[in-house]
Amino acid sequence: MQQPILTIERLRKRFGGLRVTDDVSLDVRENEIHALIGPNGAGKSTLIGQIMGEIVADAGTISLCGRDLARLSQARRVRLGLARTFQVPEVLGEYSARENVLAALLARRGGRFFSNASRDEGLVREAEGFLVRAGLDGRGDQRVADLAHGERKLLELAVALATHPRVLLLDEPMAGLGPQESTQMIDVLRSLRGEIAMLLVEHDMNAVFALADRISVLVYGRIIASGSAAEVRADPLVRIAYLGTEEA
Amino acid sequence: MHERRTFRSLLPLAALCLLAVLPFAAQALGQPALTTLATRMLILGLAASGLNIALGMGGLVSFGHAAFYGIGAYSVGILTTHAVAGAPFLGFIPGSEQLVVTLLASLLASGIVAAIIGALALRTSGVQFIMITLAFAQMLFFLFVALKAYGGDDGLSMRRRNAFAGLNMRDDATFYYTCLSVLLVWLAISARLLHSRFGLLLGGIRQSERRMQAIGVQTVRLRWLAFVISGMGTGLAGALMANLGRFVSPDMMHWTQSGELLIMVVLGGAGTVFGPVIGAVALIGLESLLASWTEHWQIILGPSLVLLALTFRGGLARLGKREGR
Amino acid sequence: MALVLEQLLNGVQFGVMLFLLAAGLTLIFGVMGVINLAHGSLYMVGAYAAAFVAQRTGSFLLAVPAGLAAAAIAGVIVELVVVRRLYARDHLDQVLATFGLILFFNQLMVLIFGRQPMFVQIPPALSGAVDLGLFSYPVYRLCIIGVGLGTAGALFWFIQRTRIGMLVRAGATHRDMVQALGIDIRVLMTFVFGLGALLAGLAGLMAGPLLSVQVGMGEQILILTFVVVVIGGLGSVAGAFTGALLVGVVDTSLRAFLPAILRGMMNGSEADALAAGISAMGVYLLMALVLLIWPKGLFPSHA
Repeated sequence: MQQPILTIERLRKRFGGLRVTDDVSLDVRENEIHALIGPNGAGKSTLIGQIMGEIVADAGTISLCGRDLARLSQARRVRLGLARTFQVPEVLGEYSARENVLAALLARRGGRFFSNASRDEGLVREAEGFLVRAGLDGRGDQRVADLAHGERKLLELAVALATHPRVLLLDEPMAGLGPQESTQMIDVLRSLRGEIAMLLVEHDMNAVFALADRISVLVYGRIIASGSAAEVRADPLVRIAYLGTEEA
Repeated sequence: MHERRTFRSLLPLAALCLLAVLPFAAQALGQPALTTLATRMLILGLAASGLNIALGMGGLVSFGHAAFYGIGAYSVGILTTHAVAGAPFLGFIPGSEQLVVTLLASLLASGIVAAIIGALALRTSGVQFIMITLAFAQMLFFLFVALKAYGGDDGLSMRRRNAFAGLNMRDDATFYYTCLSVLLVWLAISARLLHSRFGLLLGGIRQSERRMQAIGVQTVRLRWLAFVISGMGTGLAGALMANLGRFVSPDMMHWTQSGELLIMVVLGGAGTVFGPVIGAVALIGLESLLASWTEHWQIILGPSLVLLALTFRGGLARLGKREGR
Repeated sequence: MALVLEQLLNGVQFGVMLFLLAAGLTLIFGVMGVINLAHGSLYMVGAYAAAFVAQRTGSFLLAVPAGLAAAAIAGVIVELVVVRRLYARDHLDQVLATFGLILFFNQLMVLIFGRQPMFVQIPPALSGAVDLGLFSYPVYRLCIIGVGLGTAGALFWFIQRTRIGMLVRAGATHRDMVQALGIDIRVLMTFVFGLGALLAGLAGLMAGPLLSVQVGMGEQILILTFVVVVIGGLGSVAGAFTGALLVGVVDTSLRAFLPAILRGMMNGSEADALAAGISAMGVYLLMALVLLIWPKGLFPSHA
């Protein structure tokens, strides 16, 4: 049995009168892909925000490898091994794809703060490696503002990988991708399986069933079901609350 | 394309040659006042270039950089006054009339003030940041108006410029070359910053703070550092300006001065190395030109600024380059 | 005690003047997202127009509509020609453009009215003082307080209760909704800007008899107005009201009482200079403090 690496216990968050995270407990085990599905507005992105420390939870604990993350800054959490992607790509449009990855590499390292980054060959080679892993071979010099949406999604992945995460939080990596791009994204994510644990927030059921080891269903801030793909598919609550509306 | 590139790379060299011979040309043309005008341009170019580190590289719209300009100038004025009077500042800091000493003091003083203002102001963002920097500058403005010991409203006059390595600083051309040298050193530092790891991360924060936080960058700390370096550059310019006119007054901290520095940076090109200097030359040149036509020159300058803000993107330094930002 | 109350009234009087400017500024920011440095220029235009008419005709009654109309017309022109193009721009462009407008308006006033300050007599009907029991207080200042509070009340009613007011509130957050209602949002914005200019003109024409009317009067009060708006929370009229009274009272009290307090501690002229400095810094200190505790101001709007 694999050890849980990211553990969330009894997490709560309210925005005004709205419970966006209502007593959520969830874990991600080593090397697994744990998919989190649920209708829009179920609080999936808010959950990622809380894990990263961008949003402060009202109650509950989040721990990484047994270490409580409460009160740790986002920067500390990244250093401990958390990384995320955004649903709408947050990339640096004025920079080249390579510079986007370089920034992530630089953020990890201290030292020689005022030296020229783009001339550090070791660093540039490392950045290139992450671009290749994300399937962006040969696109390093491209200005990011000129990249297609699908390529930006892949770049987000490359940037996240460059922080050397132990757990990767993916916020709808398939959103807005065409069929071909989706296939490419699934292939890239599959190639990372066994190396990095992932919490995969996704609407695209094909991707979820192709990738996930376990699936949890979040509806109105609550986890209503959790288990293997077959178990979740068979769960009557899920059929009513989620799959029913999706597949109707 | 290739020709164009060589042309562009020759441009700074040509500008440098022009700057190098300018005092002689001014002398030959019988227009010695030109040297002083050019010195003013260089100094304000330095001030704008300092602001550019915060504004252009860091995306921090500071509407209070005149504060650092004034602090730099007062550092010179106060140290010089104490040197002349022979009494140490605050009872233990000896006065000085040595340019090296006063410039270092102005860097230190403006750096400290920028560190304090930055630490407080960076808790806000957007319009609040613009306004809080303005408020701090106003505070210092009124503080120096109230400081009767250093001239208050009337300002502080110096009997002569600070001394430097046995040069005759009284000579306007000598002082011009001094300022030019300081500016070139600062621009070299700027260029280095722009392409450094620091510059890359800072530019990233300007484009998307969220992204940079998500890769573990402590964005507030980097912005703060940029703000401090920026304040020091503008402070250095204030110190030179104090020497140029041998005069310091609270007017150097007036909010319109902050506005003019912003205009210079935007006019020349925010985030570029030479842009702010080009902007300073253009703005002061335009002001002098208009002022020579009519005393109501601001009625032309005002709408020109409006037009600039409405239509002109990217700044003079980016003209002819591949697309701007 | 009487002195304290009198200064408190002075503070309120200054506060309502600040509110008239701040209300326009905050509405313009709230609805259009524009930071308008030239708002003080509209105040100046109102003051000049009123002073000019008052001097020529000797009638303050005629000066009032003249000041209001001049400011409102100037405001609408500024909106149509310049500000309209700034909605989608970043704050830096807005600062630059409206900074340019300040230079233009200042020089325009110099061209038309010259550099000499203009002085306006307090209208005879309002020139006396009224006995308030503990002390007597100038009628004109009381009138300003009355007009200011009345205008504030009318403005709140207008924004909370009328159809256009609802659109103004909605315009800030739901541009599409307003558009969907078949309202031309550009007309709405011109209207709001004109309204802001009108209020600024009102403040300007009332300030005339108290201060001298001169170039630069706009910027002086503009920066204080920004302090008010930022303290109150950008976009919030209630915040502008609170902030204005706060700034008015704090500024007036510091100026009134600090010299006496400091004179107890040091010699006269030094104490006066220091007191003047600290009082001038006071409101900025207040703003810095407020922003450090509430980075979005006292009444943050969620626009």
